Amino acid sequence: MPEQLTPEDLQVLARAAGVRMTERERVNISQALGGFLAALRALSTARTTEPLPTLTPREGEE
Amino acid sequence: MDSDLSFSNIADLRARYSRGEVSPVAVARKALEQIERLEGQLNAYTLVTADLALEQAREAEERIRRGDPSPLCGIPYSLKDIFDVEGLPLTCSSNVLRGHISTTTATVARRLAEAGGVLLGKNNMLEFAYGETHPDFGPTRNPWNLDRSAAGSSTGSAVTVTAGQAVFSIGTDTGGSIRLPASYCGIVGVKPTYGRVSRAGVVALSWSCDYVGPLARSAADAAAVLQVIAGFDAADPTSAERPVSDYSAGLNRPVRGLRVGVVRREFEENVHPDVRDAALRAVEVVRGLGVEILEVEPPPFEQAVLSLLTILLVEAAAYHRPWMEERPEGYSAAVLERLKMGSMIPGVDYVHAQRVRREFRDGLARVFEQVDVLLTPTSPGPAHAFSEEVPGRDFTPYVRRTGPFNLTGYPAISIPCGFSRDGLPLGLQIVARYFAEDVMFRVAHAYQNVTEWHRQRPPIAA
Repeated sequence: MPEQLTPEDLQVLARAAGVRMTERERVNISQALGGFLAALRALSTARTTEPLPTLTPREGEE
Repeated sequence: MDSDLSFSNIADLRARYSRGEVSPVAVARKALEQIERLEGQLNAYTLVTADLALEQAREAEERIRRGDPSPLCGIPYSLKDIFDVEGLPLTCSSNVLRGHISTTTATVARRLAEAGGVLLGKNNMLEFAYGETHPDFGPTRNPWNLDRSAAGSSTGSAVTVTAGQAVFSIGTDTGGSIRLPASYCGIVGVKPTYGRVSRAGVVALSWSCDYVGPLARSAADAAAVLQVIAGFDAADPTSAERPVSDYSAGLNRPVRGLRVGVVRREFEENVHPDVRDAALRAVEVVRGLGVEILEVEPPPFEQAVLSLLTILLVEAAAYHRPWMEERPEGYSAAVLERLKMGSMIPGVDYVHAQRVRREFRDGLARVFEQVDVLLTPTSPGPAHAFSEEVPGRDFTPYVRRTGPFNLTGYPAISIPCGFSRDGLPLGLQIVARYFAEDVMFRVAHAYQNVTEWHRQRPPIAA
């Protein structure tokens, strides 16, 4: 999901979740949620996250 | 009837009952008069149970005559309107529950009734404890200044105790909903350890962050109330099967030698200067009690609050999902919008928030290896004006110092520690180790033995 959430993005999510929203709710929630989730995702959880294996670089990658 | 009766503490009332100087019926009548006199201005109640209160007061009188030793026998109290009491309406200050009558009684309410408490009624609150006032229920006003908020969500509970309408009240706290109203109103509010007090019969907001606790005018009164409501309850799957200390008996044990942690940045960042100054003065008073003050650095509180709000948003949306579908018109627009927002948080972000929670809890545990209690201001500022409230506002700064302990389960108390320059109460938070409410109460009581902040009364209540 992109960090800048549009009302249209939210409409797709809401339909999938079975939540009915007015246009005003879509606008308000998309404004609030995008920044909120971006801030949350910026937090490190290195000590509690199961590490992914270190992958062999793909061709053309250093 | 003297006005001091409205502000008597539990120990004094019980002593006067035992000597026959005053009766529980007279005290209940006085409390009901105080409610009637001020309710038009404060709006602290959704329901006043005057007949029930007088009936329970008469029963208490008889029990005391027979030598009942319960400390709460004949003591008038109220419940936030989020607790089931069989036969009484339950609203959570929302139209979703309009017309609903409880068919069971919350464990906490049952324990208080068995102890001889006198139920005065149920308190107005923020709708479903979710940060907003439902317009049909209206705001509860701060007795220190009617244009100011009394915070929330246990708004009516804090206000009724502040205004001398009840000796104590029971609230709930998911991000600070007991401690913040206590701070705004100049009283004591306790969020106990997770699992210490049963939540059976209490409408949930966020089950992994919800707590039940007392609001009172002193640490000693709060300790007496917690004594009655704490302890294992098989009806609550999260209840802790651990013994309960004798909080009242331990109040006067010495605090000398305790290690007290000060989280310096919480006195400096995003805090009103009046709060900062009062809380720093309180630290010096605590130092003067003979404790050792240590500066400590727990992980950033604002990170914990992001985790808390994510988990809260998702758990609240999951809990309310059936009502959101069946009776959405019963919610205020602001609460319904917040519930819908919680429904939109992806599962991987919820898991990330739980990982942040685990890392924050581990970091806090390392701090509690060094200290017995932590001190912080309770709220970022004094009571704000209603005119500053905007539906859907960001709660992050507001719950920054209280929310981390909902996330992690540590017990915490807010006690009054001064006034702002414009005469509004301010609060100091004391946080203790898991199940060490006795230590928390001991420090709070020692502070109150050498200060007078908790004895101040709003002029409206005199």
